[in-house]
Amino acid sequence: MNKIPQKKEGFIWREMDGETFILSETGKKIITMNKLASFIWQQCDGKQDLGQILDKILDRFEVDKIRAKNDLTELINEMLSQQMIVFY
Amino acid sequence: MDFGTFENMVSIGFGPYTFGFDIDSVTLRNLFEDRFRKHLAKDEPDLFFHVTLDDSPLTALLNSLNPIDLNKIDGNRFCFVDEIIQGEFLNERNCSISLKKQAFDYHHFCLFDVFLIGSFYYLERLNEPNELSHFIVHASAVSRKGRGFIFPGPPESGKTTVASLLDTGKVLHDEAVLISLQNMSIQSTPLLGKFPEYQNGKENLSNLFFLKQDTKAEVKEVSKFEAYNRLFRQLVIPLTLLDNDKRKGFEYIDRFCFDFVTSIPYYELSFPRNNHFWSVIEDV
Repeated sequence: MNKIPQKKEGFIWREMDGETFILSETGKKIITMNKLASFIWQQCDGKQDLGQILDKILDRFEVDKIRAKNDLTELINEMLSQQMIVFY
Repeated sequence: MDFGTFENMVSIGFGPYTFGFDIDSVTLRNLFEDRFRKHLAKDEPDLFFHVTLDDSPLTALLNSLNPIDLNKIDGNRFCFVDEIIQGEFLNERNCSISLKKQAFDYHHFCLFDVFLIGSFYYLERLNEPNELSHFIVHASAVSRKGRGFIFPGPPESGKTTVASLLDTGKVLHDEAVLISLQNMSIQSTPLLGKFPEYQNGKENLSNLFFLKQDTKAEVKEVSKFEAYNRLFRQLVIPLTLLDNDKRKGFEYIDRFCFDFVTSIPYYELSFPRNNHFWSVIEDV
C-alpha cells in the first residue's frame, strides 16, 4: 500500500455529480466511473500512496476497511490495465 | 461568383450550409438529384465542388477506411478511402473532387455521407474556429403538435420504429439529426436513413428521449451524468475532429453535451411496438 499512483497524461475527463466520464488517449475509447472510482481517480495525483488514498476513502464513504481495500485494489488494477495510471 | 453560369450545379442544403456540386457526368448528376431530392437548395453555396466521375476500376480495399480530412492531407489535396473520393482545394471554399460510384454504395453506410459530414464540420470550423454551434446526432426526430422530440440511440435501439409509429406530425429523420445550439432546434439532414417518408424540416426542441424497447409505455428520469454519457456516444463526429487537436475536439463535444443536458429535459422512454407511447410523451 505504499505505491504512489499517478494519472497518465493524455486523458481528458468531465466530472459530473461525482461520476466521471473519460475519453482515452486515442479518442476512441470512453470510460465511465462511478462515485468511488471517480474519487480514487482524483486521488491519483502522484503524491499520495495507496494507504493514504484508502484512509480518504474510509473518511468519505460509509464502508468497512476490508471492503474499501478490496475495491481500491480492484479499481487500481483496472486503471493499470487500461493504462490510465502509472506507479511511482 | 455568378452561380447561374453553372448549368450542371446540384446544390444540397445541410443545416445552415449549402454545398454546390458542379457535375459534368449526367449519370452522376441524376444520382445526386435523386439521392438528395429532399434537400436540393437554391442558395449560393458555402462550399463549392467541381465533381468528375472516376470510372476507373476500384482497387482499394473498402475496409481500409481513412477518415476524411479536408485540411491537412498532402497540402491542399485530400483523399477518402484511398481512391473513392479524391480532391484538391483551389481555395478554402472551392474544391475539385473526383469520385467513384462506389461512394454511393450502401453497405454499412454510404461513404459519400461521411464525406458530407466531414465537409459539414469543415465549414463549422471555418466559420467559427473556436466553437461549434451545430452537431449531428445519431438519432431520430419528429415534429409533433408544434414540439420537437429527439430520440438518440445506437443501432437497433428503436429509432426507426419510433419514427414509423408517429401518429400525427412529421418525421424529420430516423438516423441523423442536426442540433443547433444557438436556438436549440432540430433539423433533418441529407444523410441516409431507413425511413424514406421523412420530411425535410426544422422544429424547436422540447425533449430528448433515450429509447428502451419494452412492453409498457413509460417515461422515467435519468441522471445528468447518464444523459451526458448516452448523448456523447451518439454524436456523429469525424475522427479528425479529435485527431487534429484531441483536447480541443473533446472540449467542443463536452461543451455541447453539457450545455445540452443542462438546458433540455431528458428522459428514458420505454416503448412497446404500438403508438400508445405518444400520449405518454405528450404528458411530459
